[in-house]
Amino acid sequence: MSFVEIVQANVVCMLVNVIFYLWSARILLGRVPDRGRVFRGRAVFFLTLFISGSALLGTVCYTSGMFRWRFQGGQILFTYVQQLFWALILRDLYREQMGVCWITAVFTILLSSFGGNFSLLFAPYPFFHLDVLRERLVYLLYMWVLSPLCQVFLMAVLYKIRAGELYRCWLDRREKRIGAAVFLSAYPILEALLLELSLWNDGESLLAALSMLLAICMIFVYAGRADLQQRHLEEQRVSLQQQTVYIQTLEGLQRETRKFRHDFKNMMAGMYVQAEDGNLEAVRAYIQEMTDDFGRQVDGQLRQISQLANIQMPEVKGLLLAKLDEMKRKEIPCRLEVEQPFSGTRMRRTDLCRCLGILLDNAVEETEGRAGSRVEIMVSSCGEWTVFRIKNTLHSRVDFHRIGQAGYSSKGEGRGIGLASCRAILEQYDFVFSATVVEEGWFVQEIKIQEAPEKRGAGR
Amino acid sequence: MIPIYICDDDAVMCDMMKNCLEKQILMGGYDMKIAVCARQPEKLLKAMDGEAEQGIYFLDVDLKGASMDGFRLGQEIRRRDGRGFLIYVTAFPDLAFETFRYHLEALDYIVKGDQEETAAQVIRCLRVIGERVSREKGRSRRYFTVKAGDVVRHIPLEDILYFVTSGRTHRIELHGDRERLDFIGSIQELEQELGQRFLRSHRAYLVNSDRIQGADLKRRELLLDNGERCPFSRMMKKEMMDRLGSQMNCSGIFIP
Repeated sequence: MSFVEIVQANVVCMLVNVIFYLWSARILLGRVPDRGRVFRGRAVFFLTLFISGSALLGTVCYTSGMFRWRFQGGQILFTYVQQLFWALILRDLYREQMGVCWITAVFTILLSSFGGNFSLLFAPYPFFHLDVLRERLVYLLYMWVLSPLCQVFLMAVLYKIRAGELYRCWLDRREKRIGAAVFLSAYPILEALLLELSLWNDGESLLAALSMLLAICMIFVYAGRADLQQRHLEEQRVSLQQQTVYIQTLEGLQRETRKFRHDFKNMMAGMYVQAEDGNLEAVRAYIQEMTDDFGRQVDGQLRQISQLANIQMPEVKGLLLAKLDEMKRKEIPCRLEVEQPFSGTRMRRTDLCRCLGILLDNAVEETEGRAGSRVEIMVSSCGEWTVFRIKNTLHSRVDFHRIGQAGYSSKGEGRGIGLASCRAILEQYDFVFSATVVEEGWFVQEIKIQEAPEKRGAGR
Repeated sequence: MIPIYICDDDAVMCDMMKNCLEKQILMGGYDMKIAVCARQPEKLLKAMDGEAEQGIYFLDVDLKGASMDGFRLGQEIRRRDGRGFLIYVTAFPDLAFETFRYHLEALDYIVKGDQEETAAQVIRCLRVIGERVSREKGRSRRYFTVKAGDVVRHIPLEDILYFVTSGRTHRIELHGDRERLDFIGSIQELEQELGQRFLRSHRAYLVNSDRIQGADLKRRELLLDNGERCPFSRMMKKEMMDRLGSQMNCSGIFIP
């Protein structure tokens, strides 16, 4: 086979592969990158570059004999280079963090090679000599027919077992994913090693390598399942917490009502005397006082609970419950407004909770122990947008333009990490907008999440 | 004359508001007049036709039996009068007012009570509006209108320090005296739209030239009057010096 022929064959192979890469990335990350025409053009350009580059590099490696290096060295090197470029492309497509992209790239390529290797399991020879026509034909049959079939099958399985959900769940837990990430990144080396071992043991096919892949998948499924269980537990904890608060509120209401009944009798007696005297003004004042009292005591408490019930995302609900409780303890008057039910958002839950936590902590810190302080929290979700707005009274002078710079805080040295890291988290998302406003003694923080893409050009 | 619009489905409440407002306008000497006292939202919207000035709106939240509630009416009014003052009148003190404030930039709300209480709240609203209007008066302010998420904001140009592109595609950050927000846009388009007043000092920066206090030529930074610094590019240096028409002093910092 001539150089050009090999390149051509490789291009076709890569084309098929890239389709599967994209597909598995779509399944794993759970969304399609969709960002207008300019972007699409760029993506196509990069993909073309990737395909042709890989094909060319592969051919050069093949003809120069790099793939026949000891311990599959060339193969490993090639895989890493390919993974790196694929990760960069994923980064451009999805705008995720580089770490996430790298893992996703490793994973997609792993899946694809898993599919390929799976079909090779049934191959008559462990290596093909492409110079022999018969072997080349068999190789091409495997490459272009059986492998894609296996991969389609694999994708269907992945989709069916909701691997994407588990994967994203796993991604959410930053602290725990490093070990697995390193292990996964070492996969090409491990695969080559296993292959080498199996060859020494009398060429025992690729079974060993395959079982290793299977093990990796199992680990993932297991880890993901464990995460899901963890989350269920968390949800239950939150709902329990909420029920406790609810019961406490009801008990409070009951106490209030009982007290009111007691007062009510006294007031009635007083009113009766006043009415007998014909003092209408006093009677009026009595009635006013009574209704005001009742309204203030009962309405406020009932209201807060019903607003909280509108938040249907357990993590956010738990966070708000905890913060509302904290503010109650610290005697900061606080109000929560959730007019429409809010059930979920495109932003990753952990990120959302971290940002909200930072903003709420800031509000608490600013208002704690101050006279006339107040915190207002609003959650608005109406179709296209979800907005979180946290507003607190401002008691110290802030240098507005320095807010959000790492290390700046109105509370002195060594603080002010919060807003900067919040901003860094929000920066990762193309569909999240933030605003900070100081107006008439209030400090207002907003996080706006665009849930459904608007038409382009309608942005402003 | 600032027109005042009232909308309440309850005729008694309508009249009471009207009387109360008339009295307060007279007593406070405000330059306002009651334009309409409507019981249906349509009537109010019709009365707004052809009125160019920003108005004051006292709207009932619940509007029983009408085609739209107070919130929808507020949205309709905002579409026609972006800078008007919306005040909501409600029977319940636990109105979700922050939601109203966020979506409609509502100014305040009044809880229905007896005449005295209502009057006190009306006085409060009128005083705030009066102060704001007199603050704005005589200054023909130009506003930058920006769609930040699902709401539209109007920011006086003089309060804007600079725009800067952020790491994300098509994302612009606005840095103002009292706000910082990001929105979708292109800095080229902004430069054309805002004209002479804003200076493209750098590929990523569009700076309000009225707010520039000086420049640090050594570090190639513009000094803004609030103490912030923006970089400027070498290519822009000459044009900038021409436009700012300035003199250098020995330390390499010039004050225009």
